[in-house]
Amino acid sequence: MKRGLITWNREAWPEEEFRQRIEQIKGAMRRDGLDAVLIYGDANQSGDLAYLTHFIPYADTGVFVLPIQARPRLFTTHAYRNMPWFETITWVDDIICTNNLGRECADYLSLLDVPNPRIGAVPARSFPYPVARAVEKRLSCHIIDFTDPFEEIRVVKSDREQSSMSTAADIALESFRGLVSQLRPGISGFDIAAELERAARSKGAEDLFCFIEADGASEGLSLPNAKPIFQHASIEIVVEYNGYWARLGRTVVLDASLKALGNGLGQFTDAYLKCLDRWRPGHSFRSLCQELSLRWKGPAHIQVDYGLEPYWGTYAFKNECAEVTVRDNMALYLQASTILRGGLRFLRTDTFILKNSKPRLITAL
Amino acid sequence: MKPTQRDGDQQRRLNRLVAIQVEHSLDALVIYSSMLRRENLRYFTDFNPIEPGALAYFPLDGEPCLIVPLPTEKARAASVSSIHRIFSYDGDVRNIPQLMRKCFLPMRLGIAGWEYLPFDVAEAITESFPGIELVDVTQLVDVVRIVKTEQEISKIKRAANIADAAFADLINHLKPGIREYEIVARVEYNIRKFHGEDNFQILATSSGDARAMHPPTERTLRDGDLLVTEISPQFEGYFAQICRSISIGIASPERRMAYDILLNAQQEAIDRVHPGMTASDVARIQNDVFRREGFGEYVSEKYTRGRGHGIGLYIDEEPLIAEGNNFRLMPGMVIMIHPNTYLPLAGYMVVGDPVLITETGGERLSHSRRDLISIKSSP
Repeated sequence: MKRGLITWNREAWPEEEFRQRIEQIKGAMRRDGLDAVLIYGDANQSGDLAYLTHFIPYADTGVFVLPIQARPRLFTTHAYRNMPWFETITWVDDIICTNNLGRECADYLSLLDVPNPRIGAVPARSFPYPVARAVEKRLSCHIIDFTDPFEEIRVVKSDREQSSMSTAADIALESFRGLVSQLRPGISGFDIAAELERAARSKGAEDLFCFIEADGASEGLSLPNAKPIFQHASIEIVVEYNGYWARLGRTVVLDASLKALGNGLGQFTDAYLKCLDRWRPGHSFRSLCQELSLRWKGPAHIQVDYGLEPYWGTYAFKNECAEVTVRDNMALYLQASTILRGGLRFLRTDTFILKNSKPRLITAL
Repeated sequence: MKPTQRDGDQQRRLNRLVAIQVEHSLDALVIYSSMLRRENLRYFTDFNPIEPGALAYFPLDGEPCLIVPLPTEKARAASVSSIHRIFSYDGDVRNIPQLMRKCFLPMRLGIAGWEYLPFDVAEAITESFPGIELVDVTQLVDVVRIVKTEQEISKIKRAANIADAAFADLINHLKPGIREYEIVARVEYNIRKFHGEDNFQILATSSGDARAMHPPTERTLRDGDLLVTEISPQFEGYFAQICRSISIGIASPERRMAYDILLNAQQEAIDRVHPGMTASDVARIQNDVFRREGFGEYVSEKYTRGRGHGIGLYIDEEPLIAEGNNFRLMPGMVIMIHPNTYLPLAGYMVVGDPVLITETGGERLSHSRRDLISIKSSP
């Protein structure tokens, strides 16, 4: 519920960076012959909206209307009395608060007076059907999915974006280190989450997710609960700073008598790091995932365009099968795991940025 | 823990869905879950997704099924859900219609979660089932949840206890120099310690010119400041909320006067609320206090969001407590009563508590002190 409570200040992000992003997107719109693009975001899936507006509707929704030849306008379902706060976070100076996004977007687009307009929407995976339908009906057009061209641009991270991700990663690392010293058999998932919340937020994290798989539970990584943990725990934390996320996951052996388990974990980690070291721009997801699976004889999952979204990135569902080529300055997270006899699982998750043709791990403990 | 069979409550919930389908000539109903709005899915399936895009499919004739975005979610759902047929669409929404077809082929499909139904999911369904009619039934389904069972009320009470405990700790640790985000760090820590699964907290610290609450910033609490905040823990799915105002140092007479107006408005509404009253009536009781005191112009949307709202599996449920909303209160509903308002005397101030509508009146479910607390300022 609280997700998306950002505290960033627009002064820390120059308006010029957003102008450049908008111009890049407009270039792609021209190539596709679009007259306007509607970019949606809500408290939980806000990466595309935030990329152009520096705005995340913390408990509501918003649509940024970007016409090729007119002034862009941001519509949000937040109340007007929040306007003073909006003005501290976004460079967009034309903001309309409304409880009917579809009607407002359609009204604004109809003012453009373009015959047979071509209107794009981003991202298709969350763009609300009622908004799309209102626009289609009013303008007699068919909304075009513009997600891929848009996110192709967004996946390459600027220095400033990389810096925010690195800070998020630093907070995740420090918080996790602090946690490890407090892990004892009998600790509960809620205790772990409490320590992480306190540590990460005290360091300025805007938000935090924590997932735990304990003592070989069959349901995989889950939300923390009150059940005591005795043997081992796989803990994944996702930390947000300045709107950008970093993800870190490790398996920790709590029971000192399980020495063999600890040795296995070491071997697993070595294999993981060797594999990671071989990755270069030009590799495809398919080859990366195949190599991981081969080495660990277990599932591997890679996600590109980590950054502004805590959940799904650009290629979330093209993972294992896609021939998507990774490029310099893309931010990724890699989650790999292997299941041992008895159902115990080793997990390793890291966030890294492909920098100067090499993976730069930002979550190395 | 996974239920082995549907209990009475769960069966009653599903029966209400069937009634909606019959009444509105629907041959199937989908409950779509975005990450922002998961409450209906949790209510009808016992599954709390951690990835966006899960949906439950209820054909009028036939077994319901749960359709989740990823195989990892399938494992999680299988361990807790009362729905036994669970499929993964493996991240490709084009697989959703095929999975729906395994259960039933719909022609008139009700959608709960309409506002957040993604364009690509709607397209996949409408293209796969030519001639299908999609109908927004969100409000009808939301209303099913509005009257709480004893078990639900006990969870809301537990969430209110967590809010009380977190607030009590906060009062003891507030001091000038603390940053807004450090306040939230402390509250979040305590909420997890007390087994709260989530929390929604916004706040504002200012010398008295805040217009609304917002996410925490780096601002440092200073002598003479006013802190306003709402703490909203979630326990086993259910939210409770308290809204409180705290003065750093001795409050000025203007600040006290403003707060007294809010507190009187809230108390009058708590004293007079009863079943059969409308949401509008509850709002008017509060607004009339402002009018009586000469602040009638500050009861508009420009200065306040509303005088409360329902609360339960979602933090901000029907009905909105606002003049003009003729939704009638029923025993078993839980509503927030919060006359949170900007007044020129002292800026934005808040006081709010969850109130259970009983057979005869209203029962406040939280127990934190409601006076304008003054924290000792720096020596």
